[in-house]
Amino acid sequence: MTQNMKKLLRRHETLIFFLLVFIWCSLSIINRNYGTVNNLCAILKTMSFYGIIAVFLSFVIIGGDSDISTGASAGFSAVFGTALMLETNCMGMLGTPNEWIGIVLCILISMAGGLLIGAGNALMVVKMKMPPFIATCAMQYILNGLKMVITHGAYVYPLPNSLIGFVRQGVPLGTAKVSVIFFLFLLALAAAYIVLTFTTAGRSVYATGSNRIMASLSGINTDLVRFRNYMVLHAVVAVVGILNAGYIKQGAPSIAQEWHLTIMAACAIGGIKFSGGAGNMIGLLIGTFTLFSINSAIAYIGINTFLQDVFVGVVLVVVVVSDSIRSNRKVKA
Amino acid sequence: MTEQKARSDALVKFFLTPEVTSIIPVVVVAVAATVLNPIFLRSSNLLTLASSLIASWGLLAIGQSFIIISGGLDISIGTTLSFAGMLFCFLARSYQPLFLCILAVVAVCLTMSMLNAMLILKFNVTPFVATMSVSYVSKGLANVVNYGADMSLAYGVRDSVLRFCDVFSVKPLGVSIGAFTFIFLILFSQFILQKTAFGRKIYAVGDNPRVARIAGIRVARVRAACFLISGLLTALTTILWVGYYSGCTPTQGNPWSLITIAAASMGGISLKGGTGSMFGLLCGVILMALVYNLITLLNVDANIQNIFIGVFLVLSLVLDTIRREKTLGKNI
Amino acid sequence: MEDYVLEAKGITKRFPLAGVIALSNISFHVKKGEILGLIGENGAGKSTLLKILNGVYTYGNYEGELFHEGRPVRFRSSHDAMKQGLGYVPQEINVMEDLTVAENVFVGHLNEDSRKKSFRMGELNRRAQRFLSEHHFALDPAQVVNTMSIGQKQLLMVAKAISWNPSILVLDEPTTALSQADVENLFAIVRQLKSKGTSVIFVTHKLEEIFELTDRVTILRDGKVINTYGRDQYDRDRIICDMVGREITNLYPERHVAIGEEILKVEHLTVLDPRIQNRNIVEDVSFTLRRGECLGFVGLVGAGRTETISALFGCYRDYSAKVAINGQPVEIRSEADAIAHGINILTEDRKMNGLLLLNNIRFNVVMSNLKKIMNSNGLLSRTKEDEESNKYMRKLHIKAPSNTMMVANLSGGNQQKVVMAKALHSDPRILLLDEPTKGIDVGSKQEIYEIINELLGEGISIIMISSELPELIGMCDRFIVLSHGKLVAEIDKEEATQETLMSACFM
Repeated sequence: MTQNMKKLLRRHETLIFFLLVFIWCSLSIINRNYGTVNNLCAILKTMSFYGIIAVFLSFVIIGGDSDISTGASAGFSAVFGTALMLETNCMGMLGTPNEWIGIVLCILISMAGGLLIGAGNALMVVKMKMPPFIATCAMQYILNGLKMVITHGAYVYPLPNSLIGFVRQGVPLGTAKVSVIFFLFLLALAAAYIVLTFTTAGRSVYATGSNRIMASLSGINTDLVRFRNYMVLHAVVAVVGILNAGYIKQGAPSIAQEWHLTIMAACAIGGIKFSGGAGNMIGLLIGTFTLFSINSAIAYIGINTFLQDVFVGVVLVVVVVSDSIRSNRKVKA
Repeated sequence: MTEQKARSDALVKFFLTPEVTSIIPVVVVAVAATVLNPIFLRSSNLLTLASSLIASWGLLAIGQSFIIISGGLDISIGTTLSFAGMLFCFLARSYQPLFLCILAVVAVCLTMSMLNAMLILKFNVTPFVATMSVSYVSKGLANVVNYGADMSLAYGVRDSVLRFCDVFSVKPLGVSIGAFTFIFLILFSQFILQKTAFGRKIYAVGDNPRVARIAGIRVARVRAACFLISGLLTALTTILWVGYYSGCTPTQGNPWSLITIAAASMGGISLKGGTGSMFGLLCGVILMALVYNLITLLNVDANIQNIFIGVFLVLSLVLDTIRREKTLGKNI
Repeated sequence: MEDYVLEAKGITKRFPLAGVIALSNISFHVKKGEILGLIGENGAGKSTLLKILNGVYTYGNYEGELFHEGRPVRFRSSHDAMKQGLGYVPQEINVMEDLTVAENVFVGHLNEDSRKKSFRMGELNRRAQRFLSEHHFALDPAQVVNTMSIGQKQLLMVAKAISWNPSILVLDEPTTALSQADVENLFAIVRQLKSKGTSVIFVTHKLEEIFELTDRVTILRDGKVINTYGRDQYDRDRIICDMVGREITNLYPERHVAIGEEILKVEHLTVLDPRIQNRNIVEDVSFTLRRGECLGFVGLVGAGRTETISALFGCYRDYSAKVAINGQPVEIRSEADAIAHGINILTEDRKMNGLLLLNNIRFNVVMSNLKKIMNSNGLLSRTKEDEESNKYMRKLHIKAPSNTMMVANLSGGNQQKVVMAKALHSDPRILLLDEPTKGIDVGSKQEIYEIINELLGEGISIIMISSELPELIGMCDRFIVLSHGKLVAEIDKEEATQETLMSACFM
C-alpha cells in the first residue's frame, strides 16, 4: 500500500464513507424496501433541507464559532416569508404568470431579515464576546417566541401555487424523482467548496478558526469574517425555511423547530470539527447522507422512530468525544 | 477622587450587586402584573403558582445552580425529568410496585447526570455540547416510552401508587408539598454553600480551578458531586410532580432546562461560575414564574415567555460582564 | 545614520501603576546585513524592548524614537510593523495547526497581488516551494502543521516572518524548544539571511549562541544598555560580569538561624513532558533540604526549576521520584497529598494561579486548610475564619481595612502576602517559593524577606526560585543549579557570587 493510499484511508471522510456503504448494503438485505430508488429519493429530499443549512453552518463552525439558532431562524423566516406572500398576494402578482417574481421578492425580503438575525448573533458573539452557544440559544428562544406571538400559532395557508409546484419538481429516476431540493443542496455544496478552496476569503475562514489571534495579527479582519459567516448562514436559512413551507404546503409554525441538533450532528459526522479550522464539503455530503440513511434505517427496521432523536444525540456524543481524545494526544518531539 | 464621584461610584456599585439586580425585575413584574390584572394578587393565584411552577422550577434550579457555580452547565435536566416521569408512569401502569417506580426515576436521573459529568470532566467536552446531546437522548427516550403519548396515573395502577398520588396532591396551608420541599431545600442549600467546607470548595472551583487544585481541592470530585446533587434534585422534582399531577407528558420538563438557567443568571449567579447565592436564585425563579403568570393572566400568547427567556439571558450576560469588569478591574 | 537599518534613541518605558521603569534611555543600532545579539538576564528588559520594536507597544506608549532605514517610525500595530519591514518571531510556538505549511507561511498575503480574490492551492504550494528552497527551509509546503515536530513548527514561524520580506528580523529566544540539529539548521538559515542583506536581532540568554552566530552583542541589565562588543572583543567573563554586575545593597535582612537535620530528600526526580512525546522536562534531579534552611534553585528560563518544584508538589501526573520526608518515604500523587505531607507552594503567577479574584482576603487565606476553621460539628465558623485571617494579616503586615476586602483591589505586594498567608495556613514544614517578589515594590520586598527569615527561624524549610541573582544570594544558604532539566551544580553560600552562579547556568 502506498503512502498516499494509507493517508486516504485514515481520513475522516473515508471512514464515514465505508460506514455509509455498510449501512446501505446491510439494510438492503434486511428490508427489501430499503435499497430501492423510492427510498433513496426520499432520503435525498429530506436530507437536503437540513443539508443546505449545514453547508453554511459549516462556515460558522470552521471559523471557530457555533450557532444553535438555525432551526428557530428557519422556522421564523418560513412563517414570515409565507405570510408576506399571502398578505401582499405575492406583491400583487398572485395568480398571474409573473407570480414567481412576487415570490422571489418575498424571499429576498426574508433573506434580508435573515441577514439581520445573523448580524444579531454576530453582534453578541463577536462584539459582546458572549459564549456562542448561550448567545445563539438566547436568539433561538427570542425567535421562537416572536414567531408564535406574531402568528398566534396560525398556519399560513394557502401558499402560491408556483412555490408549491417548484418544490415538488424533480428529475425522474425509475419510479421516483430526484428532488430539486437535492440539486439545490449540490449547488450549495459546490458553491461552498469553491469559496473555501479557491478564494482568499474562504481561506480566511480556516485561518480565523484555526488561530484567531494569529490570523488577526497577519492582517485578516477576523471580525468581518465572523460577521459574514453568521449573516450568510441566516440569509440562506430563510430561503430553506420558505422552501420547506412550500413542501408541506403551508407556513406551519412548527417548521424547523428541532432542526438545529440534526444539522449540528450532520456537521460533526461530516468532519467539521467544533474546535474550528478544519472540515470540507465532501465530508459534509457523505456525513449528511450517512446520518439520514441511518435515520431511515431505524424506521425500516421497525424500531420506535422516536429513537431517531436518541440516535442523533448519541452520534454527536461519540464524534465529540473521539475528537477530544484525538486532540489530547502528545505531539512529536 | 471627589466626594461626588465617590458617592456616584458607590451608588453604581450598589445597583450592581447581585441581590439588588435580582430583586428589581421581580418587583417591576409584580407591580406590572398587579396593575394590568388585579387577579394577580389573589391568594389563590399566587399559591397555585407557588405550588406548581415555583416549586418545580425552583427545585431544578437549585441543582442547576450547584452545577453553574462550580463552573459547569446542564441543559438536559428538563428532558431528563420528562423521561424519568414517563418511565415512572409506564412502570406504574405496568402494575409495578411504587418503590420500583421511584427507584427507576432515581436511577435514570443519576445515570444522566453522571453521564454528563463524565463527558464534561473526563473527556473535556464543552458543557453545552455535552449536555445538549444528552438532552436529545433523554428527549427521545421520553417519547419512546409511550410512543409520544401522555400517561395518567388515575387508573390501571396499584393501590400504593394511587395513595402516593393522593398524598402528594395534598396542599397543607394551601400550598403543595413540593413548595414546602423547595423552601426547605433552598434554605438548606444556602446553608451548605455558606457554612460547609464543601460549599466553599464549590465556589473556589468555579472561580479558578487551577488555584483550587493548588490549594489541595479535588476539583473533579467537587464538580462531579454537584452533578450528583442535581441528579437527585431532578429525581425529587420528578416524583413530586408526577404525584401532584397524577401523570406525565413526554415533553413535560423540556422547556425547563433553559428556564432554570435564565433564573440562575437573572439571580446573579454568573454563568462563568464562582459566585452566586440562593437568595438571588429565589428571586430569579420567582421572576420566571411571575412572567409566566403575567402572560397567562393577560391571555397573551404563551410563547412570549420564550422571548423573555432569550432577552433575560442576554441582559444578565451583559450585566455579568459589567460586574466582572468592575470587580476584577485590570486584573482579568 | 542612514546605513543603519534600525536605530533606537533614548527608548524609555514606564509602567506607572506598578511603579516600575522597565527600560531606561536605551540606545543602540543595527547595521545592514549584521547579526546583533541581545543578551540579558531574566527581567533585564529584553521582552519589553522587543514589544516596542515589534509594534505591540504602539508609538505614544513609550518615550524615545525609533528609526528604520534612517526615517523615524511610529508603529500603530504589530501588523503595521510587519508591513514596514520589521519581522518578528515570538518565543511561544504559535501556528495554525489545521492548515498546511504553505498556508501558514503566507497567511494574510495569500496572493502576491493583494487585489486578487481567487486562490489556487497548487499555485500557493509552488510559490511556497520556491520560497522555502530559496531560504533553505527543509519543510514540505503541503504538510499539515499538526503533524510536524516542535522544531519544524519553530522553523515555520521563522519562514512566515521572512515571507513578508523584512529588512530586519527579530528572533526572540528561538532555540528554547529545539534539538541540536534544529539549532544548527536555524543558524544556517540566519547566516543565509545575512548573506542576502537582511539584518537579524538574535535575542537569547545562551552565551554559546552569541559566540557562534553574532557579529556584535548588546548587553542589557535592569532596563539599561550596559555595553556593546564587537566579535573580536567577545570575552565570556566580561559579558557575564556585565549581565550581573551590580552592587548588592543591604536589602536583605540578617539572619541567625541554626540549620538543623535533613528534612527532605528527593532522588531521581524525572518529569515527562505532558505535550511532547519522548521528552523529559526534568531529568534525574536529586537534592536534599535541611530544617531551617533556604535552598535556592538557579537556572535560566526553561531550565526546569518551576517544573521540579511543581512535580514535588504533585502537579504532574507523569513523573517519578523517590521522596522522603524526615526519613520516611512518601508518595505524592496530587496537590492534596503534598499539602497533607506538610508541603505548600507559592506559584509564579499569583493572578492566574494564586488567588481567587472573585473573593475577599479571608476566603483566600483559609482556603487550603478548611479544617482549621471548622467547629466541632464540622461546620465552618465565622469567628474562627475571622481569627485566622486576622492572625495572618497581622503576621504578614497585609495592609487592608479589613479581611473582607476583595483581593482584586489589593496592591501587588499585598496580594503576594495573601497568597503566602494561604500557603502558611496549611501549617507547612516545607515551603516552595516561585519568584516570591516578582513585580512587587521595594518596600514590600523587604517585608517579604523579613517574613521569610521569621519562617526559617520557626523551623520551616524553604526552596526558593528567583530570577534575581542578588535576591538569591542575599537570602539562600545553598544553591542548586539546573540547566536543560538536569542538575549541573551544587554551590555553597561561601562560593556563591553572581558570576559563579551565572556561569554555572551555562554549563
